[in-house]
Amino acid sequence: MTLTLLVAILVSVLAGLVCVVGLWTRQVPTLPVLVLMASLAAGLGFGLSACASFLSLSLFGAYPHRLVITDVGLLLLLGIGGLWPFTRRAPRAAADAPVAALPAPRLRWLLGGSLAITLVCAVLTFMLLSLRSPHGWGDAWGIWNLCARFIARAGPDWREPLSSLPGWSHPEYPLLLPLSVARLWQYLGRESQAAPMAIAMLFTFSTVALAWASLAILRGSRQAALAALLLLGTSALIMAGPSQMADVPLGFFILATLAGLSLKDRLPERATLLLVVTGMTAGLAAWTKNEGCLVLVSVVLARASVLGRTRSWASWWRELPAFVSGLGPVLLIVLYFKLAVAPPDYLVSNQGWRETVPRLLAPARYLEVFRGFKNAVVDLGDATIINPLLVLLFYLVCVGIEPDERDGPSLATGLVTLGLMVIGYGLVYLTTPADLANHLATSAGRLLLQLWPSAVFLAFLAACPPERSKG
Amino acid sequence: MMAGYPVRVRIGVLSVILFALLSSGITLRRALDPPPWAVAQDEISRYEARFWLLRSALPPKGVVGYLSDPWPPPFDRDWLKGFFLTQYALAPLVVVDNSSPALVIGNFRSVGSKRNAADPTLVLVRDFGDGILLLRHQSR
Repeated sequence: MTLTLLVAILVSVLAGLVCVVGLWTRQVPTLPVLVLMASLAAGLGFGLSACASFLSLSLFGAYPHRLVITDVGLLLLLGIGGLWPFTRRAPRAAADAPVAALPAPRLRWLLGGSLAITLVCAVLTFMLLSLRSPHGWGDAWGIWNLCARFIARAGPDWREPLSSLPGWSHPEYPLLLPLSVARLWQYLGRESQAAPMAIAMLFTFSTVALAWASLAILRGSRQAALAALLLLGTSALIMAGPSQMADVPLGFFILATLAGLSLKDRLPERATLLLVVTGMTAGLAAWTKNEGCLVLVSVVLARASVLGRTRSWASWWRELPAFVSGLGPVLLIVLYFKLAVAPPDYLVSNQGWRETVPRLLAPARYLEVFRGFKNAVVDLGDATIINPLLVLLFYLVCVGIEPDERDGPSLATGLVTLGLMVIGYGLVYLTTPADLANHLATSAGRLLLQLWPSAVFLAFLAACPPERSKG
Repeated sequence: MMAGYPVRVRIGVLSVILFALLSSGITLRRALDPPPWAVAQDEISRYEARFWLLRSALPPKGVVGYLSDPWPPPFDRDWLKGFFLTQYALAPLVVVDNSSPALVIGNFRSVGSKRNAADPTLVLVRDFGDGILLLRHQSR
């Protein structure tokens, strides 16, 4: 069983690797580059496999052997017909991104040792919590794994039960996570909780790895190690992983999109492929959770406004074709799912002007939403230790803010994106037809967690690297 | 260890390192309380096991009703948890929170609950024990 599970995971990761290998094939591989490729490959692979599984289900029905054929087809399509031509455009002379000189040996050992210890602790915590709750937490068995069971058990009629489910089970949620789980079950030939556990583990630690690798390339190994330490030390993140909910995967795709744009700004010779990958990750965010649609809109608006202001509208316009070529296929799948398969979203369908306007005009709701966000920020930490946001702010005060000039547009894009998302989340809460207090209590913390890895990435992208402060 | 760095930078770097070590240690300790090997079976698997026999007596697909105690449903955390776990155990059957379908699942926790209070037309088809019942409408 373990071998079959590994093969199924490897097929997904391989599909993702085919997409990103073109970024670096003509370069001397360095550890950050390899980790960047591996972490992106894990997320992209599962996302694209879920897209392929959805097409396979929609076209051929739920038959395991057809699923394997679809996986092989996906690999071939990506490898030969899809992104491979882009890799040929990467000039041989293109230099690797400047990685800061290695830190002094003692500090390097301190950072490396601390990172190793926290990583081991985080992995052990993840495994212990997964063993204690193999079905995940509330929303995992109430929404995501439930949906996976419907797909895996209903066979060719998988659409029917989805459309009859009550709104509480959110059958309108996108299918990246349920299809990833159902796909692994179909490979295994039975339902095993090892499948959602493995997916959750890959997304959780790929998020940390992606932040580390991107920052190591952009800002040097010390900033990268400190960012990874902060993420691994965020108990809410490490405990949300084994919950098997979609917030950590969504957080991964938000981070991948913003980190991809930052890398694109620094590595112009690989810009096209990085934009394609960024388009894919933004699309996969929308294929993970409804909030992902907000991510997509926010990123596009933020990038347009920042480039229009700092460079020219033409530079934004030039980025669009590559971005859309990555985004387009995934977005078409999301749109098809939303229009043809999913029932209406209760947050949208229960809204009319008559109900929404009074909610928007009620000052008490603004206060309640503010309090909800404040509680979510407090909950990011642990009751027994300091809040990681405070640690991050304290670190920024200590080292100062001194972003690289070249990171200006991507940093601004990231900050505007996160700002727009917080505003978007706030508007959803203000207009929610559900009980506001309950809605906030059950979701605000998770929404904040989706943004946390990106916030840490942007903060360390802006922070002055310790070596520059050296006297 | 960080010779040549300004004090404020040393403090900043060390604060992140200390936070991460402390936080990950505390989180690990909490994950070990209780250790998973000290618990025979997790709560969800235990709950699901109550439905094993019932699943074989139900059609492979369709819609079934759901009754639980107390009646009327309070839609509170406990009630919703029971409802969702029943749905999770019986998928791909769709479970609805009323007694209108031909077959209705009874999921009762307290002995002597008024099992037909919600719908007097319901008759018992089979009692699977542990509060799990299969009911149907008398008139159908």
